Amino acid sequence: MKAKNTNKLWIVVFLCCLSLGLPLFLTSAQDDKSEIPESLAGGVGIKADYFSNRELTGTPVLTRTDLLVDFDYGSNSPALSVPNDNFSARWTGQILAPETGLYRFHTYSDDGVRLWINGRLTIDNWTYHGPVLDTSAAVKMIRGQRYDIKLEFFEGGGSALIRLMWTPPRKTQRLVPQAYLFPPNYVPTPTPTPTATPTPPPTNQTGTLFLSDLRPEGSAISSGSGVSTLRLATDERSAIIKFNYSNLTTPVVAQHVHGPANPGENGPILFDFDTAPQLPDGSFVWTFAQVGNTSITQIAEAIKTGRTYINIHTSRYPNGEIRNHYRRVNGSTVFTPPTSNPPLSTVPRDDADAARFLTQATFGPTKAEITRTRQMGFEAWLTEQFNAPTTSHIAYLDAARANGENIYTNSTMEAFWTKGLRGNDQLRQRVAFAMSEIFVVSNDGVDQPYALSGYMDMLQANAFGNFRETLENVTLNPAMGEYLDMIKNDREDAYIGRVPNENYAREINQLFSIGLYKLHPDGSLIIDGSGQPLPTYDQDTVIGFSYVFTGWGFGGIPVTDGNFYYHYPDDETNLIGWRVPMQVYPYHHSSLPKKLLNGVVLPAGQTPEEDLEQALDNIFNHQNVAPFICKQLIQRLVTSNPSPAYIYRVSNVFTNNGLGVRGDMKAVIRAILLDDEARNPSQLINQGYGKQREPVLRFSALLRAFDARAVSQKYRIWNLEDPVYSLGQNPLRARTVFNFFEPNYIQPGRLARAGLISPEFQITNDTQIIGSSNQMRDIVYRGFGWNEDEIKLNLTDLLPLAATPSQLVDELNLILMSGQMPAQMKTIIVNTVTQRPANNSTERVRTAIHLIVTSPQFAIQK
Amino acid sequence: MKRRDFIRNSICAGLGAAASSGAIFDLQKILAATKLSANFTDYKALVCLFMYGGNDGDNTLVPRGAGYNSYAAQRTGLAIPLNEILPITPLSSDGREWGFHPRFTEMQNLFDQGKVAVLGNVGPLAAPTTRTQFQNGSVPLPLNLFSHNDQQVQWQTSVPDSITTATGWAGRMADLMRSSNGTWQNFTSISLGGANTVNTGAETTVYHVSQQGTIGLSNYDDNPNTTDLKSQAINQILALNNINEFENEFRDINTRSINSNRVIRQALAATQPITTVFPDTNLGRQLKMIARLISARNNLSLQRQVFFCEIGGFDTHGEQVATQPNLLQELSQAVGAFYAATGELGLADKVTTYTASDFGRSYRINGSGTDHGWGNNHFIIGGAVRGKQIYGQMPVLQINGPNDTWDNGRWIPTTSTDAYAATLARWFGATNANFQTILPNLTRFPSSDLGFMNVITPVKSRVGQKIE
Repeated sequence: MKAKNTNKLWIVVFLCCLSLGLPLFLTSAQDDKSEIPESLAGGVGIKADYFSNRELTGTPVLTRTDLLVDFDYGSNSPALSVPNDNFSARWTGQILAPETGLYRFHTYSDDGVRLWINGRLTIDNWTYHGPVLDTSAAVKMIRGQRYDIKLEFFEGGGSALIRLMWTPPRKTQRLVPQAYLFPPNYVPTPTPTPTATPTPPPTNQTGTLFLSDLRPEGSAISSGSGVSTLRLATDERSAIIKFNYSNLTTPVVAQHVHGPANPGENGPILFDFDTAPQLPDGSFVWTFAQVGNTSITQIAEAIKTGRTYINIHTSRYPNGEIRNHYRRVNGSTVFTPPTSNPPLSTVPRDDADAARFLTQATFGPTKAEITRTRQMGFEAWLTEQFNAPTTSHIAYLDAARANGENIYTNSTMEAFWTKGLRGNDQLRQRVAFAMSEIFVVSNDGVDQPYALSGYMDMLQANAFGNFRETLENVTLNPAMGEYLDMIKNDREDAYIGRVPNENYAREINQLFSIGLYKLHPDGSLIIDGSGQPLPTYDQDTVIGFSYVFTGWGFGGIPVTDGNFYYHYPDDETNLIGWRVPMQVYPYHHSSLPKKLLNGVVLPAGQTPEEDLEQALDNIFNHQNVAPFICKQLIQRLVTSNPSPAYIYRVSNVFTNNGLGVRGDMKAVIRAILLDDEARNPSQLINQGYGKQREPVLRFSALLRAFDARAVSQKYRIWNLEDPVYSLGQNPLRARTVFNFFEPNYIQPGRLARAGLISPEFQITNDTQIIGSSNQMRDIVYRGFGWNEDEIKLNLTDLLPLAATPSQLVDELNLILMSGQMPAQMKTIIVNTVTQRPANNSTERVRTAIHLIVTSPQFAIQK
Repeated sequence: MKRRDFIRNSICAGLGAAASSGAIFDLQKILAATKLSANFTDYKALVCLFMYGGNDGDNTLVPRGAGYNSYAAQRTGLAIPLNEILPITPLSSDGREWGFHPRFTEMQNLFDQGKVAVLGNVGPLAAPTTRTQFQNGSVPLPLNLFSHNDQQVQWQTSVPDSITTATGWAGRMADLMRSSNGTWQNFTSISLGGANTVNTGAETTVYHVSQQGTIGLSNYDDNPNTTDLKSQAINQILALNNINEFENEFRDINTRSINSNRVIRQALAATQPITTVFPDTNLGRQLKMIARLISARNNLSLQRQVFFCEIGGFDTHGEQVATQPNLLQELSQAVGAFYAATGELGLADKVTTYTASDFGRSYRINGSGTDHGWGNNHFIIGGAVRGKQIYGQMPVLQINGPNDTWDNGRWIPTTSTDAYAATLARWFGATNANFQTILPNLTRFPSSDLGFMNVITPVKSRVGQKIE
């Protein structure tokens, strides 16, 4: 709003015949006190005429139906055809009273505004002004009646906004919802009869299931949440949708399905719940119909490819308060255990099987290890690995420091890679890395070499332990404490309004153990009788756990308030705090009762240790832990989309290792790696089997395959996260607690259409794919790093094979691709190698390796 | 080459080795898609210039007049001599007098011409914050204040109270606008300064280009008719149809990436050389390549682009006088040349450059340097800038004063990065309806338009047509 002269006051005398609207609800007696809900009111919005002058004169430049009058134009205008300044608008139509009583109307405007209800001028502020709230006198309205409404508005210059609100009887001020607004002379159009009779809509239990977790969107400051299921009929011409929500800031004004749109994008409305038929159980029937240019087929395609979302619009957030995209899930009401129970495969079928196994279980196969595994068998290999001694990251740092080296963040990476590439405890290292992608701690947040080294030491110690201990050791690790704010988490203080931090309380449940919805033992969702999934916990549970996790600070130092608040082990002389678990500072622990999962409440006044033990037991014994954790471990090691039966078999082992022990990680790892779905070569011809090898695992496979070493014998492997000149992924450097990629990420397009989860594709993009290819090529032709730290491949064993390209490629196929190279690809590589000079064995070998390690076929582990 | 021919050639080439007899049909589809999604009527570019390390804004914008003596006394050894300060005369004043650092020659000239605006004491905020509120802890604060990597990220996400936000505000804006770039949407966000969060969105990934040009597969000839054996082999492997859908998806991204690289390289080659002389410095070379990429925009039918460039070394804990002046000179010279180059391209008012940095630095000196601070003074450069003016509020340069967190002169920002970003976003074409997505915290702050941009051009979609 700019300063303007205000001597012009436009007063228009408007005569209007008073007309009581048609009674809409003829069957309802006038003394019916119940409110007509929005879902039954039937309003479609109000007619709007826009004029390119301030005086509402001439022909409107734009006429349309506005769902609400709630516009903040800023310094812009309502539409391209309307000027930014010096425009006016008139909304006309009728308003339906949802109940009998006194209503007040309000406008919030910049600039002039006037409002007639039933022909009576009730608001008149036809002046230049900044944002101003005007309120009418009370207007009596009768339930079910429609009343004429007319709203006029002009904008002189600067910012412009206009909002139409009301205060219904016994309610607070709010926007007038679309459901109660009608254009003039509105007659509802009958629902068109479909030309072709669709097959019956799916029931709650049939059709393809999609799920949307509704969460606050955009700027909405809201603790609202909800969940929606969508069942797509088998003929793909209809769907039924069920949803619920809670904790919204203000009443719902509209609720739609939108699409097609990728996550992060907005799409047009495809389906309006408020005009749809509803089944007795509350679910909505969506019979697909062409919307704009989007055909019925395209609607089904959008649903199947993850390109539709549900959006709940409220009066405070008319653009939407909570929303999310639908993603495909498995779910059912009743759990039927899988019938087939194929035996474990303990003996390698051939060298290729051994190589495939080592690709899943280590940082990469070597020729020697393939031969050895083939000879000893998988069982003996696993037993050996479970008992193999390991070495400590922290010890590596201490040794380097004793040697006069500076210790900093990359020192941890040096330890990590030395162990990952050279360690004989390969299975332990590989599982610890997988765990670091579930229990995420990142250098972005904990920039301390001893903290991250201590964290990796803890994970590798737990890789073959019991999951209950893992939960406790993760919880009390100072790096995790620092990363997710559990360390120094202080008890509540009503006087200054402090409550405990909820960060760790939420993530230990959502990410580290049970997830958001109750699961069957095969990892599919439990669906209740009305077709909805069941949340595992609510906000009170998060708060309960946040009180459990109070009173823990750095360990290894005296327990004082000063140490609780201020100690930070960041100088070289006092790093004990990163090496030992957190310790209790009892004064800072909350003594309140604490609500946990499954209705458990911890009594008031327990010690911090008692609360912690019981709370972690509560999580550990939750039914979700087995399928939730087992599925993610399978995804990290074997395949992105394990079958429910595979998850079920591994979950059963988690629940009971055969000796009555729950959470035995050795048994779980054995069950994952020896399962028929991990071993049977029949899987190799399925379009959705396997996973993208993470960039760091492609990198490690190349270095391990050819015994890469530096003159210095160091593995100074840093800065892998650069997507231009390196891999776009670096261990322990995820950008957020959601890891480099999320376990449920679905790449839009081809993979979504095939119904495939594809976590690693979340970090695969145009730049990264070139950068990582160049990094791999550079290692083949030169090395990694510089000078005495340059890590180079040793190709000596391969040079004799260069004279016979077919044998060379066979050998590389075994080591790098578990013998899975397609015949056509082999032909291409053999032909190319053959055309390299016969007297340049090194070039021949490098050409073959280069073509393999940059290929899509190598990038996917099957 | 005519633009139309260029597009045709590059798209045919872009279909590459895998292209078959369907190429003409595909070409028509691509051209149709380009036209359909052209939502804007003009071109605009937004360039983020990130000063890594945390620039000392209190020695970049320096008090003159009545405020000088107090400044000189507080910053003994670091204070700039009064007679070396480059004076500026903003169109309006809060009563204090200011000048630029002596090495900011080009910036001073542009300021005088109305092409540079200053934004005083801006920084990440979770809510408007006073000294009392900060000290009581009674308002939410950005997480991990004074930490380099956290504050770098928060400047870019503008969601400083979340550790789970992995997208930047301009990246989220690019998500909403990239469809206007039609076929070559993956050039919406281009970086000369490495990976960054600010221009990364949910859909928008950062496309990297080096100071020398585009980054393709090394030792690979991307001519579809190449005679290089290994390039042929790579093409043949990428043409295989696989049973496995993961392999096919990986193949498709790989192919698209190779084609993109060829297209942008050819688009650059088809541009007229830029005659404006750039300084041969790290930042100068980055901005020169950005100018060249902008000059190639029409060859790619691009309408909205966000760029990223960087200059590092501002973490001046010690020996600040030996480092900061050279960095400021590098910045001033490079930005001066870049503005001239946008004029040469006829796009001075279509390209806006803005500065960002980890944080400001402590007003209290620590000997020969300064420590990590918070709020900082920043600069917006371009023909659409309402320049020769200071926006926001310059900090009160007083230890223990109203802007000080405690007693080291780490200024509590008086303007949020949200308002800074929103003002730029509105110029770029964002509407109020977009701000929920772009700047989720914006409504916590009193202003969404600080006024330093001329916003005149109509924008694509208007609020209120349909609720989404």
